[in-house]
Formats: sequence, structure tokens, C-alpha cells
Amino acid sequence: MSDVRTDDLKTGSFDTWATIEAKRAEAVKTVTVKVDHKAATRQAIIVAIRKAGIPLMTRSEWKAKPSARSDGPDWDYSAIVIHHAGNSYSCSADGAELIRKAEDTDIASFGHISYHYAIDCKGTIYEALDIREKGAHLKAANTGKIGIVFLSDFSLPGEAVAHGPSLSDSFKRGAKAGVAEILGQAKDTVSTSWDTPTTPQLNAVDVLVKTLVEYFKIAMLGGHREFASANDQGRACPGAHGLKIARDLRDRYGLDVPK
Amino acid sequence: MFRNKPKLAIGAGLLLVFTLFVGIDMEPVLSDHELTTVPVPFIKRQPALALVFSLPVEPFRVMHHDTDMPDVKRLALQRYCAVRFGESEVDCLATLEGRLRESGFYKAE
Ligand SMILES: [Zn+2]
Repeated sequence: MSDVRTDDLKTGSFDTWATIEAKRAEAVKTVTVKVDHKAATRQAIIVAIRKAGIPLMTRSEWKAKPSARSDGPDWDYSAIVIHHAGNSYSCSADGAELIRKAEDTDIASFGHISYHYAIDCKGTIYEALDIREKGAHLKAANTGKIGIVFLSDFSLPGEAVAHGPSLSDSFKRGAKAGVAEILGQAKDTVSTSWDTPTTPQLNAVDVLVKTLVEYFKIAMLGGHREFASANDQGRACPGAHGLKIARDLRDRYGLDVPK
Repeated sequence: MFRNKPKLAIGAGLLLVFTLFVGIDMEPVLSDHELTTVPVPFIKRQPALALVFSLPVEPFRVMHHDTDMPDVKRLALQRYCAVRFGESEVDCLATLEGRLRESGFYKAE
């Protein structure tokens, strides 16, 4: 049976059972029990990850800020998208501080945190956006996609130039976008530090994906760049290290490349 | 000592006129999941003493034309729109949404 003290179950335990005893020829009184299967699935995912020995912080545990708005419900997930949080993130900072930073950026940009799960460098998984809510981690294509972000910088110097939006495309969007891209590329090119995935991070993402594949009909998994390329957009995320993680997970769980 | 006074007065006057009509907008940019700002010089549509401006509300309120924003934010947005674009709130939200899209902001679908 699950342990309510550690499994974040608000009332009672997750396992349940019922027995009906009736005498021959006697009517059986039945009671209709409504089960919110989506809430139960969210909970079951949390329990499964913890049972596998991976530390997980629910939204209430890490005191996530309430969303200012929602992009609506989502549920029939068929794809997982791997992200890194960006060039200004680093494993030298505390995970709790980094999830707060990502939350602030996303609440300002979208009204809610954009990813469903975040993984810090020590391998702690943070429940970011409730799995019942639609994410905002891809440009205009989030339905059916679970977003997982590493709270790290997994891109190597020069990746923004090689794989981000081209300068001509950025300037086509406007002078401001062009200037921002030049500044971003310059910062990325001279960057001398980046993160290498840690063993606890790799274990955490493996357990998370293994669990999600059990609960949803996931057919596809890829890095943000692979999903963006499929839509003709340039993107540095999730960096060379993030892409390797995506390739390894695809191989391990027999998932398709984004198309 | 007093010979430079007229020059100083002219200089101060020019600076005041410049400040009244020219501003710098620190416009938000969303790039690879991170928020930054880029300074954009502009001609003010109404004279104002402030030199540096920034979008006074969160970008999501613009992208989704939030009609329920707190009064303090709405007033700040209206003042910003009047000086920055000389536009009413409705027109300004459309203008700003276009600028934010150019700067990497998007909707989930
Ligand atoms: Zn990404």
C-alpha cells in the first residue's frame, strides 16, 4: 500500500478495494463512486517515481506560484520534448533557485510555467506544470506534448550560431529580434562554461520517461531542436548534451524521432 | 565665468527638448527560454520627462489581450501606450502583440 506521508496523497491511500457480499435472491445495494482518473494518474506517476528512488517535489512542496492563466487542459499525450533551461543556468546554482527562475520567466511570458517536469543537477524532479494542463514549451504546437526541462545549460559554445534562428530570419522578424539574436550568439560563442549531464540527472530522466511511457501512449520523443526543425524553426535548445539524452531515451524505449 | 552662461542655458534647453521627445524603450525579448531586453530608441508621441521606458505589464497580458488586469497595471499600460505609440489601449495591445511576436513570444497553440 502507498504511504500517505511520503506519496503526497491528500486523503487516504492510493490503493483501494471493495467486496460485495449478498445473500441468494437478495438485491445488492450499489454505491456509485466517481473517480477522477486524471488526478489519480497524476498521483500514480508521482508515486511510481518516488518508489523508484528518485526524489520528487510536487508543486505544493516546492511552493509553486499559482498560474496567472491557463492554456487549457491537455491529456492524450503522444510525445515528450526534452529542453534545457538556457545559457544563464548552471549546475553551480541550487535547483530550488533555478526552478524559481524558470517559473518567473514563464509566468511573465505565458502566465504559467511552461514545462510539466524539471530536473535539477542533483537529480531531483520538480512537478512544474500539472500534467492535466497544456504546456507552453514549444512555439504554437503544445497539444499532446509533455515538456521536460533540465535546469542546466547543455549547449556547447557556438550552438546558437549553428542551430539557433539565422540572423537573416531574425532580422526579417524585426531589427530588435536581429539585435537580440546577435547579442545571444555573441554570448553563446564566448561562453566558457556549460553543464555536463550528471548521473543523478540521467537516472531521474530515465525513470520519469519510463513512467510516462507506462501511463500515456507516447510514440515520439525528441529534443526541442528536433521538434522545431520539423516545423522549420531554428533552436539551440536542448544543446548537444540534451540531444544525446533524447537519442538514448528513444533507443531505450523504442520511440520515434519527431517528424 | 558668466560668459558660458548662455551656452549652458541653450545646452540645457536642448537637452530638455530632447528628453521631452526622445525615449529609450527596453523591449522584452524571449530567446531560447530566457527573457532579455533590447534598448529601442523612439520618438515620443506625447512629451514626457522620463527617458527610459519598459513594458509595464507582463508579456502574457499583451499576447492574450488580458482584459482582467489590475487597475494599476491597466493605467500604467495606457500611459505607456500614449507616449510610446500614441494609441488607445485596444490598438496598442494589437501593436504590442505584433512586436512581441517579432521578439520570440508566442501562444501555446
Ligand atoms: Zn527548449
